Amino acid sequence: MTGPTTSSTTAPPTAPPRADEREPVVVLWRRHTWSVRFLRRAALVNLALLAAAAVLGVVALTFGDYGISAGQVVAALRGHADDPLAAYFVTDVRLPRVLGALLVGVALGISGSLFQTISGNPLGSPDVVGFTTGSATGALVAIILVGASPAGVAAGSVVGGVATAAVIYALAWRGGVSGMRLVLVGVGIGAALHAVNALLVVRAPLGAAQTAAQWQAGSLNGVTWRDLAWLAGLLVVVAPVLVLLFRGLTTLSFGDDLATELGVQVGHVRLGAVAAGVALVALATAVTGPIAFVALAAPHVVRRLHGTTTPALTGSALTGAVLVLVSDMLAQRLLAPTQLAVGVVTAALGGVYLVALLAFEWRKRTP
Amino acid sequence: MTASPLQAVDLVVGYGETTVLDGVSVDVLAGELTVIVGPNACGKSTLLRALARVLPVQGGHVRLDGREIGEYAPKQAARRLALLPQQPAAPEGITVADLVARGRYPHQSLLRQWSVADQEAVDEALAAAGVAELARRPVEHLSGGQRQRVWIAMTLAQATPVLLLDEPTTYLDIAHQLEVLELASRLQREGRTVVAVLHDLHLAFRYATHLIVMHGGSVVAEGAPADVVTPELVERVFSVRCRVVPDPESGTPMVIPLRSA
Repeated sequence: MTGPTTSSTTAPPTAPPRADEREPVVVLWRRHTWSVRFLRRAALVNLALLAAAAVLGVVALTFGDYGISAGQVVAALRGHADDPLAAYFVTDVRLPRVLGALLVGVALGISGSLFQTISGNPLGSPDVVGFTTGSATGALVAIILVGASPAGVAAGSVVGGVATAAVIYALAWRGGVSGMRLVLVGVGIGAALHAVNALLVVRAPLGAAQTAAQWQAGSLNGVTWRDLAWLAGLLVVVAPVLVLLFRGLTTLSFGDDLATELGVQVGHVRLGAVAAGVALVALATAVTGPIAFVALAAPHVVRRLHGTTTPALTGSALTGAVLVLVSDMLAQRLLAPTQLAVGVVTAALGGVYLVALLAFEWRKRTP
Repeated sequence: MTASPLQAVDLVVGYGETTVLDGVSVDVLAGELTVIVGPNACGKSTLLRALARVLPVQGGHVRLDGREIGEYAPKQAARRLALLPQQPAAPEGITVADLVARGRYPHQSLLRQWSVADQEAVDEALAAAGVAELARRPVEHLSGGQRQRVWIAMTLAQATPVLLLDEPTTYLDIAHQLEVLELASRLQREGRTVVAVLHDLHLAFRYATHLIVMHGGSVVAEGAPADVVTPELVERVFSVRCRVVPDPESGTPMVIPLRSA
């Protein structure tokens, strides 16, 4: 999904190109009138992110009370561990958590990138627009009012997220959905649902309130192989949809008139992207509880790393994965032996990032 | 088949409760530079946007090459008809070449993302609009006139026989207005059908090969500027009393407003 999008012309022979004017596109393969092209910098950044995720993943597998070296981890992953206990800890206990962090990060990163693209607004992330809050409402209803099992809580979370999205979309509808209206309606609905969530917890019996508070912190503790299968399955279903939508999505930043004029079916693209984004964030939230700021921050971070304006779904996915994994490693180590919830760490990191963004980056732009 | 590549027939268009166009019929003539003028809120931009199918039509028809425009697949229509909207917004940081390349969207598909034909069309469009040397520059660093030529290059990359320009000269100084209109005029002479909505009557009358005058949501006059423009028409449409004299440079009609007594 890395943008095969830009074009280039050869620089005039008189002026040698400056460093930032270097050929930004790499043609990987050309045959007849076909070619496969990549943005050089975006491709390199994505490869680096992928490598970082792999290395950090192995490091994360060494974390825990039972000491296992990185070498043993790799051996265990390949199925040749000498120590059966190490093999058990790596593949049955720690691997689901690490894969969970990566997959949830991928889902949140893609979801954030989709919503920022269709809303045309850097704040148009599912955290801000109320989808995550809606998922939480669904889960809290399941925990507190129904007393549901973990599976029931997950189902409640998905239903809550999807229902919230449907309500926001319907309220923002006026012969089509504009990005700005989607954000504003979403912020309003999100605020209302926050109040509902608080009320639910306050009125709950102590035990349920504790479970609810734990769930709301967002944690990778309880991730099982079955959760991973759900997440992976959803990503497999969503990926081809995103491949189909991607080129249309890149035109939305030009405004609806220009996108329509170019032959993009703006309404279909937006609806498809909302559906994919909601499904991803709802299922991620169902598995771990709300993990704040990743969906908001990942697209920003990757846009700065890539130095492009096209929506970078692959880059956001990889950035999200690295962010959640690193946050979870910090959550386990920061106050060890006390284990923090990953959502607490992402919220703290994300808060700092957002403040830095507001203080330095946006101040430069709007004098 | 009809000689007109783009027609509006009894077009009714509005926003919500307000009807802006109430039964407008217009034939866009092939190979002409048609300029639409009229006072603010007369419906000229609405007409252009409805012709380009970015506004839903409440009644009547838009025909593209004789066929109902809605019967075309969106990309198919976009290969025959391009619209440059008013004041388009470029995503932050985008380069000229990247922006112009987006014009190739209707010629591409999932399995045909970037072909040699795409590259050639972009290079041609950059050259035609005189912005080839700016290709690597970020659009936001350009002057207003350069930026408008870059946008026109994007619609040129779309490689359509018909080009609609919605107020392409608004907010530009006189030198940049001339730049843009010279480009539009050259495109027409090279065989394209161009339609532009303009505000400046003097330049409109000078560059138009065909003029459409709109007032209150309908077309009140149509034809070659020299045949159409009279003091009475200008007073009726713009509520300005004036003399109409030949432009000493081009011989086209020139409106000289009278001083209010």
